[in-house]
Amino acid sequence: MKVLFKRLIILAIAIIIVVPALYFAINLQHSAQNESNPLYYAPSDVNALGYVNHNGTQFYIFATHSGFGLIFDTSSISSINFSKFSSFNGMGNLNDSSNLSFKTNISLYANYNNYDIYSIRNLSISLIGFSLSNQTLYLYENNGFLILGNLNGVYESINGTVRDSTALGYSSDINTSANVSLAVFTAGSNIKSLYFNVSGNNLTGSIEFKNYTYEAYFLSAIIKLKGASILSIYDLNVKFKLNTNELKSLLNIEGVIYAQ
Amino acid sequence: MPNKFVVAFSYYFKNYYRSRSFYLMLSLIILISAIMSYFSFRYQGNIDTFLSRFDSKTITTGLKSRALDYIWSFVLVNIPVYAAVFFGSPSISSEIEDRTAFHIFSLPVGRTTILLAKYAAAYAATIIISLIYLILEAIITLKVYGNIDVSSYMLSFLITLIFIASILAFTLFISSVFNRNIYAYITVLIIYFLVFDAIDVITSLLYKLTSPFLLNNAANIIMEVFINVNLFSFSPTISLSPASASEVLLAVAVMLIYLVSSLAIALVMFENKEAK
Repeated sequence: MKVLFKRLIILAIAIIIVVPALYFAINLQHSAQNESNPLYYAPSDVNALGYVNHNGTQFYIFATHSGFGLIFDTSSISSINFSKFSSFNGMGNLNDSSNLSFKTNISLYANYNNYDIYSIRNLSISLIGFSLSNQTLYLYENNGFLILGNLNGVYESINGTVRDSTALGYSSDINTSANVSLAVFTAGSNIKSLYFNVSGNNLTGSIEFKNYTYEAYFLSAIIKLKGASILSIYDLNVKFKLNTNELKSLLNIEGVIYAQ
Repeated sequence: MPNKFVVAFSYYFKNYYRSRSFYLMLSLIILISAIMSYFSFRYQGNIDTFLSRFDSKTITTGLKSRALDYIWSFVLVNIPVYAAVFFGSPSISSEIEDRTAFHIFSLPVGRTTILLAKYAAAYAATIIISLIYLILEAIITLKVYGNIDVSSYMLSFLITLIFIASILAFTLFISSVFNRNIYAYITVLIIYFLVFDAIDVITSLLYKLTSPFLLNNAANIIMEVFINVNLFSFSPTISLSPASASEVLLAVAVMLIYLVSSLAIALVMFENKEAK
């Protein structure tokens, strides 16, 4: 009886310690998993969120009303000296800063909420219609992720992680199997939201308009576009598809809409 | 109980530090420490060269000293495992194999007291072995860079103490299962270095994540508190910052789970052991 009682006490003490420790560990693992999601480093109040897979280097883009940032997972960058960054210059339509190097331009700018923020001077990047030249950008590192953006973007990213107010909730809006995926949540006074994915030469998009007038303008413009097709129209939501080789003529859409 | 515990502890501790296993581990740790000290001075330039790939203005002496401590800790994480195998594995099985259980079980001392005294003695012996390495790590880092990141070092030191407690409890649990020393030795080594690694490889391949609930992965935090580089997965993460607080707490919680559950099972098994 005494031995049985002793065993029960031992097991009870073990359970009292192990069960809360296990619960605590599972919660911590959950937060560690969140921290391993790149969207954890984008703030929750984003206007636009994007994903780019370019020559094996994957990164996310976020934009708020006053800031923007690019989120790189260092595990997707095969070279530790950031040589992959210079591969951005490999695209035909890019600027000629082929000697882009963080090594010569980076310096410690400030410490904010225990994160070291570095400034990178004279940086030129151009990607998928988005270009910056001779800009001073800022960068900080968190759990193996590099967040590069303007100062507001970096501050908003840090604030988001500190206050646990992150863009994780938008994970389903981004398609990581596409080469480029973009979700725009605030796209002017007439468009409620805009999503598009680019895989190879195919662009599929979904636009939700705020009124029928602009939906009609858009439809009349896109049906004139070579290589474009409407996949579905449901109330104010239009899903469409087009060939990116015809993207240049897409620029005309804007002109057509405004002309009308 | 406390008096009996102290007597049993001092007896077993003497037994450990007079054993050949202790002197073998001591010789090994002195040899490893000497090799590490030599490499620290000889190849200091390599750390500087590696870090100079980043911007020189951002590479402080503090970061360099953390990089050196990371390399020392890389070796340290396996030392408690071997020490625990030497001191913990035979602690229960040897009593049955050597037929000393007849005498011990008939003593007016509870089996729980005996097991806890054995555990404390093995812990003390492992700490002495590991302390030699840890103290030398601090001295060499100070000598090489004239600077040591005290908070990271103390955190690594503290986690090492917790890890030693958990790996020893685990070996005690394995020892309580077997009646022969050799099975206990081999099983601990196979579980730690083969089974845990195999599970880790499978989860890394299938789910692209390292299993945080494996003791060997939790032990990696001993070095990751200096620099958060995890080279043991299929998608290595590279960060010059220390591991985050949640990663440290998760590793400590995992060690605590192994410690308490293993010790509890070992105690129950030891209570059930029959002298043959």
